[in-house]
Amino acid sequence: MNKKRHIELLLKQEKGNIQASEQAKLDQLHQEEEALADAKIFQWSKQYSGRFEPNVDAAWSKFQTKMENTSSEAIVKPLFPNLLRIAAAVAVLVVAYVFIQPFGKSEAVALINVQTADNEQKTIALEDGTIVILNENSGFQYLETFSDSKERKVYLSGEAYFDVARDEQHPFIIESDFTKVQVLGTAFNVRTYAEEDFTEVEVVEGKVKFEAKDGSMKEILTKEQRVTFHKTGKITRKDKTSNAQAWHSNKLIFKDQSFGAILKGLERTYDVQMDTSQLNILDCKFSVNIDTKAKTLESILDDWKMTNAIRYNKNNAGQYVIRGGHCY
Amino acid sequence: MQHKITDQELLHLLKTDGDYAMKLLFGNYYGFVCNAIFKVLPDKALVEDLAQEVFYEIWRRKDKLKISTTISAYLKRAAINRTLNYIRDQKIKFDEEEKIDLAYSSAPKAQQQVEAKEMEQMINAAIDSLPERCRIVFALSRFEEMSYKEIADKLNISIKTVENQISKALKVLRIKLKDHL
Repeated sequence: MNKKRHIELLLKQEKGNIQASEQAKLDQLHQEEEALADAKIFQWSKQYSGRFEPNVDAAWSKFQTKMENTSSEAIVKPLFPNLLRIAAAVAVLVVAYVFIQPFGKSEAVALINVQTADNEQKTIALEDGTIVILNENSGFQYLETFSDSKERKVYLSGEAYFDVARDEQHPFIIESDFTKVQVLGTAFNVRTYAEEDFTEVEVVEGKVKFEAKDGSMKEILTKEQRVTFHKTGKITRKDKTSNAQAWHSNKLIFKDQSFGAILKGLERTYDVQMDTSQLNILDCKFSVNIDTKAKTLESILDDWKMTNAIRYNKNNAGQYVIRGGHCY
Repeated sequence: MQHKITDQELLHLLKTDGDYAMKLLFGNYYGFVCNAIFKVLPDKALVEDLAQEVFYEIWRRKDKLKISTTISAYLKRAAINRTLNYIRDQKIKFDEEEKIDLAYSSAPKAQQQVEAKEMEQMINAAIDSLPERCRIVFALSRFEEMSYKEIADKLNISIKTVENQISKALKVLRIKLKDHL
């Protein structure tokens, strides 16, 4: 129906001389128009943009208060609101104590303490396959086995390069006096000498969470990022690495480490898998310096073949099967 | 500088360092959750209260939390569910008459010349002018793409009431937008 006819009918309706059939036609027309309009409205309404930009910082502060209050939910109505704070502070202290003394919990597991002197570096292979290269004048404490705890927690003062074995179920945490580094990825350098007033983390590969223990700083670092956290609270960031980890060059230096731990270190460094189930000398202690840039894995294994009578071959799966051996 | 964390990392972090994960989650999604709720309930203070509750619930259950979709899909669903619960708890009488504001500003220009942006503003204004109950039902239908039956079930009202509210919303919008139809 055209517009002219429509107006004609409208005029008739106004004057009251519209026929019943014409009225029906007009009603139908209006319904059609409405349907068309509704279709348009339906379509347009999709463009509606809820334009609400809340103040996220303010909301977060409010939320934090809520989080804090929940931890003390057990106390129904405190007589003195300040008591809550004290209770919370005491709780934090207790937790901190457990954290700082994680090794005291299970007596059966030995805490191993490694120290380096001037111009001395040591490579430590942890039982999970993580390699730690400790720079000079540094101290490093770790548990002989992590299997009893939820986290793989170690303690560092000084400087170390870490190549952490991936295990999502057990976060790897490096604590120092005033910072905490939690590893989400793999290789990085931590420098936290007690006599220097900063802690510096530089990531070579993967992701690392770096935070101040007092909560004043939290950062997630990725590849080639470096963050220096000064005791004064100052934070410096740099996106290009300074080669902070160059100090350990390409040397793996094992001091008095079990052969099993050394092989684990080699597995990670050369990115291979080893089958050591038929090896006799897993627990024998060795001290070796290995230049991983100059030597191939096979040339290293060949040395042990000569000195300690091990045998090895590569199986179909590409694994190195290492057998036999004498400690001497 | 701060790295955009993936859903998977965030979920993992929730279990290992809940407080820090909450901070990231909040920072990344608070605005998103607020806007999802705002589309249904355009009351800013109320929206923020509900959004806080959504995040609080996640924090409370962070150790048991299992998310099979993306975090944003999960949060949107949580936000809408919280909103629906709120609406239901208010015992809003959806079949009672509401005062409708039919005032509208006629378009200053001929419709062909209306810019897309102005059009959007006009649509926003028209939808924002809908009476509360009308707006809720209309938003759930149009923005959340819920069926009439779903809306009726969630709000504890009859399908007939849902239909009435939708047609009322359309009637208002037809009047508000008549210069452009």
